[in-house]
Amino acid sequence: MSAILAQGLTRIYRRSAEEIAALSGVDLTVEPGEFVAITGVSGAGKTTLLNLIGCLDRPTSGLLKLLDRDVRALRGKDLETMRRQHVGFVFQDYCLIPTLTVEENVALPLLFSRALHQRDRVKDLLARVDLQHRSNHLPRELSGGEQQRVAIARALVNNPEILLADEPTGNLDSKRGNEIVALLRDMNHIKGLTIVLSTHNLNLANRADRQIKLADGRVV
Amino acid sequence: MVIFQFISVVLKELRRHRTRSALTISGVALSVCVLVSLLGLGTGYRTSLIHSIDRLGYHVLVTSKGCPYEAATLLMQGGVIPMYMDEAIHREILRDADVATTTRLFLGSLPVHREGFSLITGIEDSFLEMKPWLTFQRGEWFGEGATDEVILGYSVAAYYRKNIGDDFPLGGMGQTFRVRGIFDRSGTQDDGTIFVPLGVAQRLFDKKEKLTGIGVKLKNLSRIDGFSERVFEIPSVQVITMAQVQRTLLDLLGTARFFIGTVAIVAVAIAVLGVMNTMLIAVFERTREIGVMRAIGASRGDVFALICAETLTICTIGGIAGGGIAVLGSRMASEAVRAILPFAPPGVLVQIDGILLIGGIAMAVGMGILAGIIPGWRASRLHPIAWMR
Repeated sequence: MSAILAQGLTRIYRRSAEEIAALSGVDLTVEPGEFVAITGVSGAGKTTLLNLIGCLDRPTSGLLKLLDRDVRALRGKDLETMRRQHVGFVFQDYCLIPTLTVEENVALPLLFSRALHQRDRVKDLLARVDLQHRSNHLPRELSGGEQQRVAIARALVNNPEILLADEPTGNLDSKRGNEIVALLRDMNHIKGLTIVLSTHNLNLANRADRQIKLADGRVV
Repeated sequence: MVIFQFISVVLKELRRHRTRSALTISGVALSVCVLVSLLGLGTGYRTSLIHSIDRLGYHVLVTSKGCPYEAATLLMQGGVIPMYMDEAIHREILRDADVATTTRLFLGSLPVHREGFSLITGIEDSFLEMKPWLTFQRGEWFGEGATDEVILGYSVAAYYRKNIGDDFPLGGMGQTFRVRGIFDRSGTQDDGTIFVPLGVAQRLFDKKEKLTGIGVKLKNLSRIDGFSERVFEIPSVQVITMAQVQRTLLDLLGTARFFIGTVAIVAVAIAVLGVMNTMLIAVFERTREIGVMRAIGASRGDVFALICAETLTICTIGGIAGGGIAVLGSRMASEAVRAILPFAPPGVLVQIDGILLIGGIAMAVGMGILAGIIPGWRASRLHPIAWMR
């Protein structure tokens, strides 16, 4: 069973009479425990591909399976459950909730999955990303690297099988960027987490098990 | 646990925009305050009115024929009944076998201390027999044959700061009376009345041998219908029973309460629209955060519940604050109403009891649910990646 299987995956956006193909017939297989880097220039379709894999968007055509489940067949609550339980998402600009503390941000997915009794996981994850001493701070009191580590902890709190990271180092300097990738690498090694990371930084991409390059919405 | 965390998220969001939250809560508080106060006014006014009517002391009032609304209103609120009947009618009524006691009345208004008009009532000894609860705080009944004495109602004495033996200018001719007695507080219109002997009132208004009303107490209240029919046969006279007065005034009050209710509903509707508008703006501003929440696992229901919980919190806090302000300000509101309606019945005009207060807060909670539906629905329909586009 593949963690991610895409065949002929296509996403077309329609604006008025114009059709824009963000992805055109992408074939892709990611095995469980793999660390894959999606590379390509801006506009190549990296974010669109991650949004489709993360069940944030729906493909126009093609096959997409996550953990052997056909995503196109999922509707409403099943899609929400897939997002909540099986996929973790890390965004380029962290996307933390500014009014909540570090600990509350990390615990937020537990609130949505009605699993606050697993709060010990929050402390464990904060310790793993080395932010236990910042648990009561607000996001604005943290550096960019720290905020991204909080976002990673949040993405992992529901114990997903797949972690998707969309340009997670895009807003960080190279030192902080390396730290983040090292952290992801550790998670991949220690927990056997399947990670798909998008980046246009080849140095970071080289640290993945495998690279998939996108250009104009196609795998090249 | 989940619910506490949920509430914590909501409260932190409200604290984020303190001014906006405070203004929205104030709007709700204001509308609930208006709602509770207006309903309290309806209740209080009705209670005071019924109490006032009950304490008139007569079973029936005989007056000159005229508009019953006018007669009832004037009877209750005081004022000049511009029609008079002869004293002979009183003698005729006295002959009726069902009559236990009567008291002749002459009501009018005169300038006092050059500060506007006050209600003057000419009375006779039997007046106190009709109203055994009316006792003297100070002083005593008119002296035998007195022509320059007044007895003051409790509020009049307090307002003019008069004591026994003080001079009391009355009427436009510069005649000065002397305060002979001051009644204790009765909680009726008598508190705001200046009493003079019946003959003196007739002389002051130049209506010798004329009356504006005759209060009648019957030996048996069950005979009231027969008595009324007999009195109706007397030309140019009408009988007003206290039940009629009560019904007439409560009918009038019912109409007023309908309009009061309408105003209250409009106030509530405006508040609901205000909260809804604020929350729609908040949802628009938080498109990104809502999208992120959806991305990290929030269901449509979670997002809907979060937004509804915010409106519910705003409205509940506003409802409690508004209800509290209404309770604390009820006395002031009563005085304000009395300043606008000087002939309003005595007593607490704005009565807010526990049920009304809880009802007002429950209404605020209902407002919160109502105001949250559209913003909550809009938020729950946001696509998880709408903010990225």
